[in-house]
Amino acid sequence: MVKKQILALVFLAFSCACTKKSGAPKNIFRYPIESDPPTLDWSLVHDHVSFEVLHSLQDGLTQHDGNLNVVPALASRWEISQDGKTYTFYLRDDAKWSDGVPVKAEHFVTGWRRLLDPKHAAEYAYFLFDVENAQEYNSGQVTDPSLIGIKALDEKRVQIRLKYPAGYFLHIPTFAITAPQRDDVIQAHPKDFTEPQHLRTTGPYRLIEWKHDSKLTFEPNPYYYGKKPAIEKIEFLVVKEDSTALNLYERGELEVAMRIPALDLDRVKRWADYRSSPVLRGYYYGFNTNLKPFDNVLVRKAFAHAIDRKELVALLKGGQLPAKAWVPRGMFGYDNNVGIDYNPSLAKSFLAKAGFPNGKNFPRVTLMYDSTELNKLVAERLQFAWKNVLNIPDIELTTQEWKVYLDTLSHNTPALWRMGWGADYPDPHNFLDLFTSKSGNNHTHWRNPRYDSLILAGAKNMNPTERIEIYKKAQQILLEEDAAIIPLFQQSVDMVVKPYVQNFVVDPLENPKIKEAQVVPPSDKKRHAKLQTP
Amino acid sequence: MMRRLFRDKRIVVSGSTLALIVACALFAKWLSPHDPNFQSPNAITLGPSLLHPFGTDSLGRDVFSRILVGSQVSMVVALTTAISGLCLGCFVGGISGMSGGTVDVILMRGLEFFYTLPTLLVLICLNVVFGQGITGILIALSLEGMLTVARLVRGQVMQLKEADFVTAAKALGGSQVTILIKHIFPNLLGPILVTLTFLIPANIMYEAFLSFIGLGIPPPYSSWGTLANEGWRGLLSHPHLIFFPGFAIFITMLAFNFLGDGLRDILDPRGETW
Repeated sequence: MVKKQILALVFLAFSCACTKKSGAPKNIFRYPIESDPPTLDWSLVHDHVSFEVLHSLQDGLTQHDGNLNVVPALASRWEISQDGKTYTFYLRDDAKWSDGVPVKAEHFVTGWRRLLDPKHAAEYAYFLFDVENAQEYNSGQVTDPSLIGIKALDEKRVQIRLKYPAGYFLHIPTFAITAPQRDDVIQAHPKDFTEPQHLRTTGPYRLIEWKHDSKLTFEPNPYYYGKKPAIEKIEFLVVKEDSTALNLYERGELEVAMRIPALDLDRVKRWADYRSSPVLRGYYYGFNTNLKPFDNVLVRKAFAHAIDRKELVALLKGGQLPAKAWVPRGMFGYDNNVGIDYNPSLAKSFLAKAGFPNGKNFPRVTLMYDSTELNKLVAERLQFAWKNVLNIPDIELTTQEWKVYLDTLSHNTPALWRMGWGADYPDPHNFLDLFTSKSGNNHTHWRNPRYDSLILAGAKNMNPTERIEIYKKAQQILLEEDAAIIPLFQQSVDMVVKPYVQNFVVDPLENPKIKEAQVVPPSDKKRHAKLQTP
Repeated sequence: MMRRLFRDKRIVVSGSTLALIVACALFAKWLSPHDPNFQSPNAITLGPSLLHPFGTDSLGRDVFSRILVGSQVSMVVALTTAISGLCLGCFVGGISGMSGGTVDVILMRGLEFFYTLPTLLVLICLNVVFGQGITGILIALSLEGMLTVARLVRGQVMQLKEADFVTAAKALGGSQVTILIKHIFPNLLGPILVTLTFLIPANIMYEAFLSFIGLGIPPPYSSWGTLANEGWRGLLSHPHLIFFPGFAIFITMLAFNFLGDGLRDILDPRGETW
């Protein structure tokens, strides 16, 4: 009797599960993210997971097309003054927030002031430092926010004054941190305006639901000025393990899976679903140059010379490219002759000169990384390489969750740490500005006034040939003379996409272009069909 | 006694398996064909072959050597925690059972307090204090073993201290300590030995579990748990990476459990459960 009841229950549960599957809306795009976004307050964002999500939520004044050219977004057109220092953006008449309120010029002023406000200590504040008085206001030298070079001329015109003509400036407002902010919304809900009931955005989608550490649900923004996106629902699912994401994909519970674990790539590469393309993201190891023994440049050089990048990349098995230079391939200013090569004997001699012949008396140091499978593989490889080449005792490996890790890097930087940098706009300034003394993302504690002035000169310069020279010199200081960081490789997007998803791409800036994608509703048979392995 | 041990097939088979595993762990250094931490860039995730009998992992390390060396960690952790847990448990349980009254109440409530704390929580706290590594695991698992043993010993002591031979020893003027050590503990040897054979595999499993979820010993050292943790990720592409460590854990657990079952049947024919 009991057995029968149990059987009946099991059957019921099973049939429920089945009906649920076939009853689910078809036009849905399920996308895995590595962690819960630390914040959706786009002025204060400083990590790629939040940017990944925000790309579908927020539009800026301008945006990138498929070839990374700047095209209009919230601004329908703009004018640049003769001296290249004053930009006037004309907002679209039909640009509206997700609650129907028109986008006004003052919203940009609010957003930019918020980003620069010293009390928020936004890590990306330095992004706007080309703007008049921006740096001064952020550092507290100027206290009156109205002196910052952004002004609402009227409701639909934003005027921006720069300190110098920065050739790349039109790329900056493509970026989510520069998106407008609503003072009324923030004032009303200062603590939780990023929650779905309060959040107002201007992009193609709006936030419907945010189950923290689980998923975010987006639906098309009814007031969006552009073409209504074809996909009616996006679910960003927090899937911490990359291998779990792949499993979910294979079970048909995700439309796409990226960051495929090295162990699975051998198998996945044979699928028709597999795609790989390099992106403008560098992966590097940084030193805390304040901590012994890495305050000594010779030790840093020894560590850099001990790494064989080709071998390292072979382990990862994806489309990554070994990179000793910091500016990535595919970007203006790329130069593969800069940087420190693999050279074990040179590495040994540098370590000996630093006072640790053959690794003798080398102190115990800690290497920290955020816990992903790829990071672990790289860390273990480096641990071995440094032991093998330099004969130093095993470096202690420690891991932290992404959110905690970011905080640790800013406030209590370990001796050795890993980090990546994805291009926010395709200009070397974006990659090299990162390590200036004023950058909030420079965790090396390394400062070099010569480097700073070169980066500034590069920003002011409009002549491409001269800029290439400037950035080459800057990279030589950063990588060769001072060896503050060790670039390891250029990342690639290695992903699998279901055949019924069309036009979905991840651009070289790693923005998932969901608004242009379509889901051709699969018949259930197709959805559950086994993946083809030719 | 010995003849009964050797007549029981379970004990003979499981005992010799365990002897083999322990011998492998002891002589891992000489038995392993490769340096377990050496990463060979030309041998990434190879399947089993003559050169690498259990294949290689994603960093090009020999899995067979890593399992051998990993068995050391697993065994050392399991044995030391089981024995230290046993000693502590006998000590606390003995005192508690022997003295009774207020001392008993205080000790038992203390134990119950620790019993309610999840071991995982204790371990995380210990990791914060000692840093991630083997110290925290050793303390947490010893504590866990102590709790089980102390309760068992206390019950047995309370039962035995009413026995005639104890009354006789008391009449002859034996002190509490002598009675406990000379008269009561020898009678407890059976149940204690059986507990030990169950405690060890439980601790092997627990260490594997902790390493599996990433709270175990840090890289590049390996225990069976860390190997399984690295291996399951490649379940579909490179099944040898999870199969061999999993099999090692499986065989060891099975052997210990059979040994414990066999010993219990012989040492404690009434079949008490604990």
